[in-house]
Amino acid sequence: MAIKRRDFLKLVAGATLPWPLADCSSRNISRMNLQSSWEPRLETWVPTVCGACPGNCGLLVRKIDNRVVKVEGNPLHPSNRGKICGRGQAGVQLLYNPTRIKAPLLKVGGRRAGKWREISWEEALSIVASKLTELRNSGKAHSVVYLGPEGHQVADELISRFLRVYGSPNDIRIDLWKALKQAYSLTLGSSDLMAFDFENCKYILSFSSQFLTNWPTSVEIQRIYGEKRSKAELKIVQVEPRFSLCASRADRWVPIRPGKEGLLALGIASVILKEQLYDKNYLDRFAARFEDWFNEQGEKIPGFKTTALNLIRLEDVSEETAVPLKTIIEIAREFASTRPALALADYNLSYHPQGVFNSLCVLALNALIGNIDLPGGIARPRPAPLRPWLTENLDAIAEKGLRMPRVDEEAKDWLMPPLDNPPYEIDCLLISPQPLPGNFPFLENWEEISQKIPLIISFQPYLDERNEHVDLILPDTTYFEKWQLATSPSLSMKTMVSVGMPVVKPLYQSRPLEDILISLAKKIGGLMAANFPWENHQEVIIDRLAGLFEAERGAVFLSSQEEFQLKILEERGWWLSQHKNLDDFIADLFKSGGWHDPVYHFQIRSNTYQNPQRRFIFFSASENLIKQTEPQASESDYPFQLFLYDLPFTSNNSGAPMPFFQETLGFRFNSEWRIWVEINPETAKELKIKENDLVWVESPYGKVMAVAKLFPGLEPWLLAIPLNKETAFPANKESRKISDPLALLPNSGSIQKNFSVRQNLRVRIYKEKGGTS
Amino acid sequence: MSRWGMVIDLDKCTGCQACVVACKVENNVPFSTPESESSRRSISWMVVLTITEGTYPNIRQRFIPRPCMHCENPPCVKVCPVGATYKNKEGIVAQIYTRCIGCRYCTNNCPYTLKYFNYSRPRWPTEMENYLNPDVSRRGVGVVEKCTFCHHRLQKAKEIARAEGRTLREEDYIPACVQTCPTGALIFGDLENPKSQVFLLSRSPRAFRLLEELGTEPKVFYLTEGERHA
Repeated sequence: MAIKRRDFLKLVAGATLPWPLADCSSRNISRMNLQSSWEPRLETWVPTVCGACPGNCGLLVRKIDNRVVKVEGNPLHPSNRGKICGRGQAGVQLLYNPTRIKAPLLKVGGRRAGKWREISWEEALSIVASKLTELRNSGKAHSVVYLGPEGHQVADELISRFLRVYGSPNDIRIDLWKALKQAYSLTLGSSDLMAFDFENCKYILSFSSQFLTNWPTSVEIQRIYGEKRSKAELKIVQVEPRFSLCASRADRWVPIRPGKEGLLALGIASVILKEQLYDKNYLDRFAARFEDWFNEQGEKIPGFKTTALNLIRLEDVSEETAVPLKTIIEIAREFASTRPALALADYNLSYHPQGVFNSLCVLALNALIGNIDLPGGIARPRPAPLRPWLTENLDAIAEKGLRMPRVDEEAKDWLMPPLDNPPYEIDCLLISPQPLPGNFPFLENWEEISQKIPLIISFQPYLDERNEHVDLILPDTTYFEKWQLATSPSLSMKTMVSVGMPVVKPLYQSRPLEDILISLAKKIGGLMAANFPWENHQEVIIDRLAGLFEAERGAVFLSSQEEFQLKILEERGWWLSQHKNLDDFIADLFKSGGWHDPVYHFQIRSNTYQNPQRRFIFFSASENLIKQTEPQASESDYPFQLFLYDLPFTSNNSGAPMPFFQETLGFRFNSEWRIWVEINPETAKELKIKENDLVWVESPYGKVMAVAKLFPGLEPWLLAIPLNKETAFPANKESRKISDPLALLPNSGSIQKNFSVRQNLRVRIYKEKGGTS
Repeated sequence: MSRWGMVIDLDKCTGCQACVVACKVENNVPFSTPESESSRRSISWMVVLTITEGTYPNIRQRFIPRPCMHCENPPCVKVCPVGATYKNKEGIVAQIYTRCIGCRYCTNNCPYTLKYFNYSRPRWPTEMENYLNPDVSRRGVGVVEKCTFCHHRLQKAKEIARAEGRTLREEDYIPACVQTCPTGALIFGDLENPKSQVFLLSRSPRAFRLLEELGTEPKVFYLTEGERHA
C-alpha cells in the first residue's frame, strides 16, 4: 500500500501533537456537553398567563423546540409591562419537576399503609363519577366538599358551576382577605375587594400591609413604586410590629404592638377630627353615621365622630400601641394634608382576633379624608364584559342540596367566632390543584380531619407528604400546559382579561382540571352533562371571550403609546373596531396575551356604594371593641410574644416545588434555608443566644427548632418566625415536622375554622443543648 | 465601539429577588440546597446584599444588587495564568470555561468576591434539565464562573442585527436581570453613548461605585439612596 504525501503529513502532525493539548481538547468536548445528535433549534416566544401566584401577570415564554427554557414578562400586558417577580421567574421549575405526578394514582391497601398504583384516566374518571352519582342519588350531594384557595381564573368559576349543578353548597375557598372583605361589606355594601389607585396617590399610610411583596398585584405596585420613587412623588409610612421588606422601603417605619393597628387608626382619626382636617363636603354627601343618628325606634345613636372623640384618649392610644404621641399627631396631620393619601389594610390584619375591627378603622381613615372613588383613592374594580355563563338548569336534587347549610357556615354576626361543629359529616372531599395555604392551622390537623372523611380526591400535580391521606389523585397540569382565561385580580383597577393557550403539550399523563370536570359532568350524565355542553375548556374560553368582541370597547393588549390613543378616543366617546370578525379578534387576543379597557370612570355612585343608602357607613367604636383581648398564657412562663409572618411572595403558599424561589427567601438572613427565629440583639445578649445558635421556641401548644437570627427590626419582647418556608427540596415530612411553626398554634384547626388567628401567641425560647451550628 | 455598563438605582430596589432568580434560570446556574448553603458553596451570579444599620427602633436596611462589576481594570484578569478570564473589546470581563484550570487565583483576587468556583459537578434533577438554556454552556467541576452581563444575548442581538442589515441598537441587548426587574432599579446600556440613560445616570451626583478607591473602575454604577431626584 502506497502512502501518499498528504497521508504522511497527517500522520506526522498527529504523532507530534503535544499530549497535554490532545488531552485538553477531549476535555473540552466533554465539558461543552456537545450532543452527537445536535441539530439547529428553533426558538419561539408564546404569550400566556403566569400561574405561580393568583396575580395573573402576562408572560412571554421562551421555547426552544418543544421545551420551555425561560419566562419573561409580556411587555404588552398592562399590569406587569414586561416585568415579572422572582416567583414567576422560577415558574419553569413548576413545569419540569421531579415531584410531578405522572398519571392518575389510586391508593390501594388502605389509606395509611397503602401504596400508589397508576391507573388509566378512564378508570379514574369512572371511579369518581360513580361515587359522585351514588352520593347524589342517595340524597347526599351536599356532603361533597371542594377545598381550595381563591382564584380569578375561569377555571374557578367552572368548579363553582360544577358544584352548584351537582347540588353542593360547599365551595370552600380559603380566603386570606376575609376580614377586609367583611369590612368592605359593612361600609360599602359589597364584600368585593376594592382597588387602591397607587398610580395617582402621593402618600401611603400602610397598616401592616405587605403591598410591595405579598399582594396579587405586587408586580404592578412595584412598577409604580419604581416610577414614582425617583421623583419624590410618593411618601410611604409603614405601621407594623416587624421591620418587613415593605417597612425597609418606607420613608418611615412606625413599630406598633401586634394587633393594635385599628386602635392607632382611631387615634389618628381622633386627631383629624379634633383639628377638623377631615373632608366635610365628602362626609356630608357620601357618608352615613358620621354624625349622631337615629335608629328605627327613634333612639339617638352616637356617630363615629362622637364616639371617636369621646372614647379615644390619645395618651391611652399611645400607651397601648407603643407609638409615641408626637408620631401619631405628625402622621395624622401629614395624612390629612397630603392629597391623595391612601390608608392601606390587607390580609395581615386578619391574623388577629380583631381583624375586622382593625380593617374598619383603617377604612374609616380613608373616608374621613374623602378618598373614596377618586383618582389616587379607593375605587371599585370593574368586571370585564365576558359573555355570561349559560344559565344553569338545576334539578330537584341540586336545589335540595344547595338549600343545605355549608359545613363552614359562619355565625351571622362578625363579632362571633365561627361555629364549632359542622352541621353534617363530609362524605367526599375534593382538593384543589393549587397547594392549600401552608400558613393555616388546619393543615396541622390534616391527619385527624382526613380520618373522618371516607373519600378524598386530590387534583394536585405534585406528590408530597400531604397527599398521604388522599385516596385518589387526578393530576392537573401546570399553567404552561393548559388553556387559560384570567380576569384581573380583585385589587387591580384595570379592566382586563389575560389569556393563554398551552405552551407545551401536557407532560406525562396529566390533564387540565377544567377538562377533567367537563368529562366528569358528561360521565355523570343527565342534567349535569346538559349543563356542560362544551367539549373541552378551550370551547368554554372562546365562548366567554366573544363577550369582549361584542362589548365594543377596549382593545387587545397594546403598547403604551397605542393605549394612550385608545384612552383619549374612548374618553371622548369614540371607539374604532380593529377586527372584522370574531375569529380575527380571538386570534389577535391570543397573540397579544389579552384584552383590556384603559378607561376608568370615577364618580359612579351606585357602582361604588352598593348599600341601599349609597353612602359610606361609619361604624361606632364601642368600648369593648377598643379594649382588645390579650394573649392568655402567663407572662412569667412564656415571656415573649410571637409574631408569625409570611415571607415575601408566599401569602398563598410556599412555592415548595420551586427551589430557585425557596433559596431566595432567606436573603435578608444570610441565605438561610432552615427555619429561623428573629430576636432583638439586646434580648439575645440577655439570653446569651448568639447568631446562628440552634434554639427551641415553645408555646403552650408545641415547640419548633429554629436558627437564631439577631435582628434589630422588632421590639425586645417580640420574636418573629416566618411561615411558608420549606427547609429542603423536595420538601419532605421529616424536614417539615421538626420545624413547622404551625405547631406552635393551638390545635383547633378544622375545615370549619380555616381562618387563622395567630398573632397573639406567647412563647419562651431556650438554647438547644450544645446548640451552635 | 460600545462599552456596556449598568446603573443600579438603590432608591428603587425593593430586594424582591427577581433579578437573582432570572439570572439563575438564564445562565444554567444550579439552585442552592441547604447543604451547599451551609458549606457556603452555593453559586449565585447576582446577589442582593443586605446591610442593616442602627438599633431598634431606628433601623435602616439597604439592599444592594451585586452582579459582576466588569471592571475597566479587572484584578481577576491580571492573575489568571492561562488567560481564561479576560476583558473583551466592549469592556465585558468574560470567562472561557474550557480554558480555566481551577487555580482560583481570580476568585481570591476579586475584591468584590463575586467569582464562584464549582466545588462539585453542577447537578439538576433529570426533569429540570429540560429548562436549561442551550445558549449558555454548562460548567463542569473545578471551573470558575461569574456574571457575564448575559454575553450570549449580545452575541445573538449582533447576529440578528447583521441578518437584518442594520447596526446594533442599544435596546437590542439587555441582560436577564435588567429585563425582569419590576421596579426598573437596574438600567443597562452603552456608557459610550451620550444619549443613553446609563451614560447620563453614571454621571449623576448620586452615582458611586463599590470600592472605588481600589482603582478597579467598575462599569456597574450605583445611585445612592435617600436623595430622591432623577
